[in-house]
Amino acid sequence: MNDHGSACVRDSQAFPSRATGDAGQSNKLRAERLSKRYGDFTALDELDLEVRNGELLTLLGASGSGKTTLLQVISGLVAPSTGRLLIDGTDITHTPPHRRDIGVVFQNYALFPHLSVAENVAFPLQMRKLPAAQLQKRMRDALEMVGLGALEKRFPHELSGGQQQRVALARCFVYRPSLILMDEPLSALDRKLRESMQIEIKRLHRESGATIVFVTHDQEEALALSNRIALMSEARIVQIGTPQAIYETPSCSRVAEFIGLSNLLKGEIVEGHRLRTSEGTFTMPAQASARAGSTGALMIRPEHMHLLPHGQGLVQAQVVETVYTGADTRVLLKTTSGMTLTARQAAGNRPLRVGEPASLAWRPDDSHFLAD
Amino acid sequence: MADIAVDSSTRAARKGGRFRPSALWLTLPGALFLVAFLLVPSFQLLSLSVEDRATGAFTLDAFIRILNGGVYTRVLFNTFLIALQTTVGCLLFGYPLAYWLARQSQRRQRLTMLFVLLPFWTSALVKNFAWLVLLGRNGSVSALLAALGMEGADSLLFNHATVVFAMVHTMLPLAVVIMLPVMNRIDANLANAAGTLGASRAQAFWRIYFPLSMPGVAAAGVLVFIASLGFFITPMLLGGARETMLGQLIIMQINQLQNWQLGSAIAVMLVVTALATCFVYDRVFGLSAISQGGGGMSHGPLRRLGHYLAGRAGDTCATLELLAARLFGQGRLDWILSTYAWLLIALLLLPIIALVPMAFTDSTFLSFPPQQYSTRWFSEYLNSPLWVSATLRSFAIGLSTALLTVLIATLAALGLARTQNRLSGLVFLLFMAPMIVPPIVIAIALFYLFAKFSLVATDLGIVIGHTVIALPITFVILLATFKGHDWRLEQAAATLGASPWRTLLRVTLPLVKGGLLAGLVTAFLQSFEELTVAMFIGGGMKTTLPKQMWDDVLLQVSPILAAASVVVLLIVTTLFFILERARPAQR
Repeated sequence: MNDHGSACVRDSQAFPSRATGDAGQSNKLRAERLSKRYGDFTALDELDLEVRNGELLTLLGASGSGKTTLLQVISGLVAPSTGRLLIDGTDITHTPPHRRDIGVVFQNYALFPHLSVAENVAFPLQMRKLPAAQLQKRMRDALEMVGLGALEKRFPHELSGGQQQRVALARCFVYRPSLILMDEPLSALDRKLRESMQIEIKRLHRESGATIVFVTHDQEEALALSNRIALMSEARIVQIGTPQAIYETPSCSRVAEFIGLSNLLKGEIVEGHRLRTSEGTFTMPAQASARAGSTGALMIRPEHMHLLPHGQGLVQAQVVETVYTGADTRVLLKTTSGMTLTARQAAGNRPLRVGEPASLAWRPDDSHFLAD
Repeated sequence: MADIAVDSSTRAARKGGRFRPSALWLTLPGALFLVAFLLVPSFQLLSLSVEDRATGAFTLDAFIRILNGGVYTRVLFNTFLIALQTTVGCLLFGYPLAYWLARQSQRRQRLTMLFVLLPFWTSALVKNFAWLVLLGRNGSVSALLAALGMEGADSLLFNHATVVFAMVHTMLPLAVVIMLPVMNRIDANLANAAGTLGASRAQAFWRIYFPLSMPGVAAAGVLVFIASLGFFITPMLLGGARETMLGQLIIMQINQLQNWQLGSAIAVMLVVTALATCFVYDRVFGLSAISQGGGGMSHGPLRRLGHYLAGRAGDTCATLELLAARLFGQGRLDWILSTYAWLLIALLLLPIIALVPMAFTDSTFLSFPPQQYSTRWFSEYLNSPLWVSATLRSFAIGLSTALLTVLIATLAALGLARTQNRLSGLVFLLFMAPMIVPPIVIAIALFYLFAKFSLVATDLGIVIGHTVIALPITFVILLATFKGHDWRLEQAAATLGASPWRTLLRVTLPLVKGGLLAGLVTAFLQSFEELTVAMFIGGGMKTTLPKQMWDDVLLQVSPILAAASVVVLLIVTTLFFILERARPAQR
């Protein structure tokens, strides 16, 4: 697993600079070989990252993958051990947070409990010494923007979680920073509220034109929000790309397993552009380039797995569990060799019973080859 | 999930049809105890103060005598001045120390706090006695200052400045102990947020941190001020005639002149001032800030003024910060702060540590450092039936006080932690009341009450008095313990088949035993070092260790006192470390 990991890091590390390296001016933020070490622990490992002007980029990763450290280094709250950080081409590695002109939305909002909603939102404007009349107007506009105009006299502890979140957003957008960092801002909200706030953030992003770096461990949130996703693991960026690219063409099995459900069939490539696995020998997708004799895995997403009557498909199996989710049913099957595979059955089909024999099939071009 | 568990249990209790008395009834024994031994005697004092001694008719004579501009008025004014100066000193010098402590990691903070808590638990008597020797005409401080060529180095004692200094020194740990928890609760992320929003470090401190720490500062100010009002040890030992405080007047009126009318009137004035201070505090911050933190926010003009001042301070300091950064470079201020903190801690510990070599002197008079070392004063101490019996009595009284206090406080804390009742606030106030009434007032009020029941000069009388005084802190410790306890664990134990008795033994007690032990040790320490109650109620016969030391210090300052102090220190330190181990890990 570890070998896999470092292999896929090396593969994709050159990816961002190759993609955008020459477009210098369109980069809002640029991190060059950023490292952060706490004693023996490496939180960031020679990380490179480029964030384009006006995009919403999510840093996605499990806890401990280094995403929050990266955000803190960008915001200036933590100094990197080595490396450089540039905003709009200017080196800001050693600039204190209050002179970086960035906005941060904190995980628990960090609203000032002794200040009212209006005073919280006015705070960054006061720090910038805005004239009173202008300050009032900007503050009101920002509160209107998040729909809290009526609550400006309240104190944070008198607000619901969702309202507190809106105040935090207003406080961040009110001084129009060109780069906004959000540290799991929706993690404290329940599912429904989280989804409506995601739409809110997309709207604010579009209307303000700000560049946003958004940290989350929730893959659905990342897929829903981002222009691009940077997937982090073990203090490095493993893959960076659009949500579609990350979901459909992961760079290695680790990425595939982190995002969405996937079936992985490992094996060795044989003559005729085919892969020999424990479940049989399957045709490779046409665009995959791999030499015979090399090893890797075929990834097939559950929605591309077709359920067929026993005997007809590519792999024979038996239903071991069905999970009804409303829109579809997730079906877990065990192959004759003992491997578990997952398929999605769209609503309207005949429900399968546990223990029932079935078979699975997929179109070769719906599968994706991951070289070892 | 959690809600479901709690919900169904309360519903089941209601449906059961059985009468389930509110847990608030558990506070009844303590409430009755405080009514009998605090409220009733206090009101007795009030009526005594307006009663003519001969005829019993209503009169305001005593108050007029105090306020008519004579010697009593001067003492009154002096007391307020010293108490106010002490309070300001404690806040001014204590705030940076508390701030420094609050910024340390939890582990480091716990270690460094030991250096503040040790002087906190060392009795005022011992500390002031040490200053008496250190600052004396032949003391080492005088010698040092004289060597530096300072004038008046040989007359450090018996003046206003020394009294205020020693009182600040005595009360400062209290101020820090109260301010620190409030500072610890301030979310470190808020300063970060302020930074990213464009505030410099100075701006973030003045506009965010400082206002949020104010409830702690105010609470510390109120408690230090009230404690200073009734204080008599420092002015009596280190002050001259001009530094006389109200506490000393009370002792003189009651113990020497038996003038209850005037003595009570002074006591009433102390209590009224204390109550007025609390009232102002409540108006501005809300008393709930002591127990819960946070508290109500308002849009009042006072708040606006506060924010305006904090804002101006922020602007000014931001400019200074910029200047300082340009002059010395970044990060220099941290270094200054920790140097300050360590120096202050050294000063807090100085008299305590200096006592040890003093006690091992070979000569017949006290000096620091002594010429020759010996243990003769310790053998003298151990061979003196007076000292040994006083020590043993203090132990017995301390133990009884601890048991009684913890019993009452446990019931009350249990009752309060488990109910949400309109009366809860009132009950909480009642249990805090002994903190608001100066100990000297409690002592003379009980003295008067006990005189009628021939409880004066009995061990029981002293135990009751000590219990009144030890109740608030013990109660707060136990309340925190029970509020922090997860009561769903008892529900879990019940569903797993444990009987209530077994649940108590196997689940509840093991989880709260740290808090109980902390309560016991705290109550014991309070009693073991208590002087005032023992002084009035103990009479001449039932001498406790602090009382014996007090009598000795007034009579003659001999090295046996230092030896006794070292014994007290040894016991207190031992218990203090037990307390630290018992304290449940910080949440």
